[in-house]
Amino acid sequence: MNTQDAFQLIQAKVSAPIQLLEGPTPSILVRPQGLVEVLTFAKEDPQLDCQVLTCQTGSHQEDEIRLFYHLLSHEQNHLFVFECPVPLSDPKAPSVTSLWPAANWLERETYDLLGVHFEGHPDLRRIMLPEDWEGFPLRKDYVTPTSYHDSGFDLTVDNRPSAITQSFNLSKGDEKEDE
Amino acid sequence: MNKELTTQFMTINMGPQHPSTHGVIRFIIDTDGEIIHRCDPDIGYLHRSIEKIAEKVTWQGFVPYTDRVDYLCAMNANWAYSMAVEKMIGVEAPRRAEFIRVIVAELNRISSHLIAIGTTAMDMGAFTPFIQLLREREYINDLLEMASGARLTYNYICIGGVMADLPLGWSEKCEEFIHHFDLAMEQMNRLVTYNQIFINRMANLAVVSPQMAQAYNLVGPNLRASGIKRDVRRDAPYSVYPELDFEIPVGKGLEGEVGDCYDRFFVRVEEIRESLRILRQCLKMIPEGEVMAKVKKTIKPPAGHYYVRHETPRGDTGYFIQSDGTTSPYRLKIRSGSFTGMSIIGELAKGTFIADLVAIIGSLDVVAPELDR
Amino acid sequence: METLFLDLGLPHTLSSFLAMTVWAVLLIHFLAIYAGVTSWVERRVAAKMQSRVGPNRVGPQGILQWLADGVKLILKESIDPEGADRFMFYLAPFLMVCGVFATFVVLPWGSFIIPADLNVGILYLISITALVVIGILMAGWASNSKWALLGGMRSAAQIVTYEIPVAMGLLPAIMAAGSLQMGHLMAAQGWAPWEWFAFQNPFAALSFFLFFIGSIAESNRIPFDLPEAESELVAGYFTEYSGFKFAAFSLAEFGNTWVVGAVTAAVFLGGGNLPAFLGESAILSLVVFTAKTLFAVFLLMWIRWTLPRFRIDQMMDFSWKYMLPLAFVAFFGQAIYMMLTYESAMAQQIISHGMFLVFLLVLFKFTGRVMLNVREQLSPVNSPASDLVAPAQPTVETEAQAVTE
Repeated sequence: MNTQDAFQLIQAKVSAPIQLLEGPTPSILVRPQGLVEVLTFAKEDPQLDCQVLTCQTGSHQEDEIRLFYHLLSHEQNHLFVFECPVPLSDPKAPSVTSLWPAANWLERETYDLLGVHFEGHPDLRRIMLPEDWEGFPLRKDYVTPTSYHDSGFDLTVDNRPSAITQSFNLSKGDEKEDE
Repeated sequence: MNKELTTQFMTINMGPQHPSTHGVIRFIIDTDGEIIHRCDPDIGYLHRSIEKIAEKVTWQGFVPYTDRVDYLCAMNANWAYSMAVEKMIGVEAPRRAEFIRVIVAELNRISSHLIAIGTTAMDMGAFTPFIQLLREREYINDLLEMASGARLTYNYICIGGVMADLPLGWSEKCEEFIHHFDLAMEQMNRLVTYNQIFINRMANLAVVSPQMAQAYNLVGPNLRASGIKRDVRRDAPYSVYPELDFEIPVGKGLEGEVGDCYDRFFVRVEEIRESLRILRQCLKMIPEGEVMAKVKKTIKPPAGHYYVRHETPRGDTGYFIQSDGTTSPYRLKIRSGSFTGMSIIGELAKGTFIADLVAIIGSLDVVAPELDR
Repeated sequence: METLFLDLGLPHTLSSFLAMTVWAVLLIHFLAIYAGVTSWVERRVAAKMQSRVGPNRVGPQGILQWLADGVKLILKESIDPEGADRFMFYLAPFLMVCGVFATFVVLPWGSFIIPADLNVGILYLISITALVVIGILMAGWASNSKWALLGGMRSAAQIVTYEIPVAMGLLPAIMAAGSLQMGHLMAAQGWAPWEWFAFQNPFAALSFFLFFIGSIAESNRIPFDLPEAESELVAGYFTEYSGFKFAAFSLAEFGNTWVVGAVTAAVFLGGGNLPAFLGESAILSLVVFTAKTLFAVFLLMWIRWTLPRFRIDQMMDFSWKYMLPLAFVAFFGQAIYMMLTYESAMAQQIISHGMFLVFLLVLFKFTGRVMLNVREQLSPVNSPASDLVAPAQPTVETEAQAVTE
């Protein structure tokens, strides 16, 4: 089954508004309000039968963060992509952890790196970065920090102990003297 | 003396430096004596922000970074990324290059599975098989070094083909190795796989039902061990795999239930056998010809998002790539098998012994750099 | 030894004291040197099994490696973990060494040299090794580390569990010899293999296996090395130890291998008995006895580097569900055997010869299996590593072919 057929099937059965996006990989656009409804249908409908949430991620577009849900069916051997835009001003999306336990960590990663709050997530903590990290690195407006909090350790300058650099320079000088 | 005796769980930090976490991973475990009550994996110690780096480098420039995503099967990672970009820009690698890719990737799959099997055996306390398997892996490293010049991070498969043709006489050396390795693998099976102590440790432990495997998105050997016959090489065939004759081993519950640790272990052993079959066929079928397609120096794939699946030793690895038509990726996400494999450990470890947790980690073949990226 | 000093005209008390001192000095040096050399041997044996080289730098074939290691460990900083019970933390390794060393009092050195041939020899040996448990438990508790505590607890459970099959496994031999004395136990056997207690009858063979397996468990070696399981408990009860205290643990561990080997040799493998035509040579007897002991030690190493490790519940099951009932079978079987063949030396001869033949058959099969492995091990006729030249033939130049924009 290709994405067009799936789109028509979902449109006929589900009340939430969806939209078919053309492109190199066709996908189905869902608003956050209808996300859980559509994905539940995709999981439970025998024709779609998407038992596996194979990938959940997001990407920062201009003023929104677009979430991508890649659903896979082992039985039918097809893969559908669902997109869900959430506004950057209020990045909130419903969690699908209740549908697929795999979403737990995938959503935690998206929260960690892109700062999307998944409502209803049982354990929304940072997963890759330290708990006290500031900012969300995969957003395009992220500014790479020059120090870790107030540690005073400036990451932009050469922090090697002076002894190392000195001995390096000295040995160079010695060589010259030898010549 | 009316005080009641109260007991509490003992919280133990397993890791980040622990002999059997295979890299820098931490498990916070609450135990009741030796029995695990709660296990919370804490990952991220090896996060190198590879996905962020991808947004700063060119399309070709990212290939060496894929080596570092999963250094136990760098060939497969190279290939997965190159395949994704080739699909985006509509380039097809020459036929000889495709065969070379299959050969080196299957060799790399064997070497990765050897590490998986060896470390599992080592975690069970059998140190000798690990060293023996590493010795076999050295032979594979030699072969791959002859082809690519590197032993761990190859950077061999590139967008449009492979870096260089195989050296003269390489095929003969590879056949020699296959002949030797067949015997070595038999010996290894006698030493570990059919060892009764080993079977007792692994059988009926941490059983993953097919439903659970799907819900937790297990991939590759872990998924197949639960009895689901799914392999990207068959489902979404790429390269020359449709022409090759190989089986997809699934867990049969040889010593216990389907989907236990022993099945996960045994599926890898069987996969090594199938990889050897593929290698034999490829070495016979490999044609002469070019190994590099014509690729523009500056790649600018059309805008849009792509998702390419590739069967690495750790299973279905997905490269989600979003392009905005410029010279570097707009967003790149690597969906790795270890990540979802790790998320199931908290569930599986409940009620098992500390010694079992080690077996579970080993049987799921979690590789820390791929996990944290 | 004592008579030697008495002959010199020294008073009785003094010569007795001197004899004890000399024995103690000799034995403790033997223990230290033996433990060191065995650690090197074990590493070399393991290396051989794993296609490695092993330590081969210090001295010929690396035989002085243990000296280098020992010096390093003694010079190393001794670190006390925060919150450790310092007294017990320091005491534990030496209790373990004491536990192992005290057994040397009754261990024979061939048929003619026994430091103290106590009439309760084997009983003393079984009871004094319990000191080791106390040492391990103390180390685990005093380290203030959870891994060490788990290791200590495992060890206590394990050693208590396996003491019983070990003691029960020794009982048939004691019954056959009618004595607890080491000298009598050895004298009850002959020099020839079919006169050894291990091959005397099926029940004796069974008790030999039970004893040997139980001894492996008591000396905390694979497949029973749960107290120090490095992949689970980091290093078990000695996780927090460093420097000389760590060396003391190794000393006890390797010294224990000699104890296991010597008891096996003395009780089951005919001790230092010599055939009549060789006369009563103490030296030769010592050589024979040492060879048997070292063979048993080698068996321990072989097993250690081959097998995986049990899980704690399986380890317990194995002892209580299988070894203990079998030990009872061996015990009663031996009693019945002795009752039936009490008057017929002929039957005893036939059974022991038959047992030895069966053993030879098993050995033959086993050797065949080992040789198969060795042959396959040598199978890389021309390994790819042997002549590694990578004549890279870049048929295609990436840069040249690429079409520049």
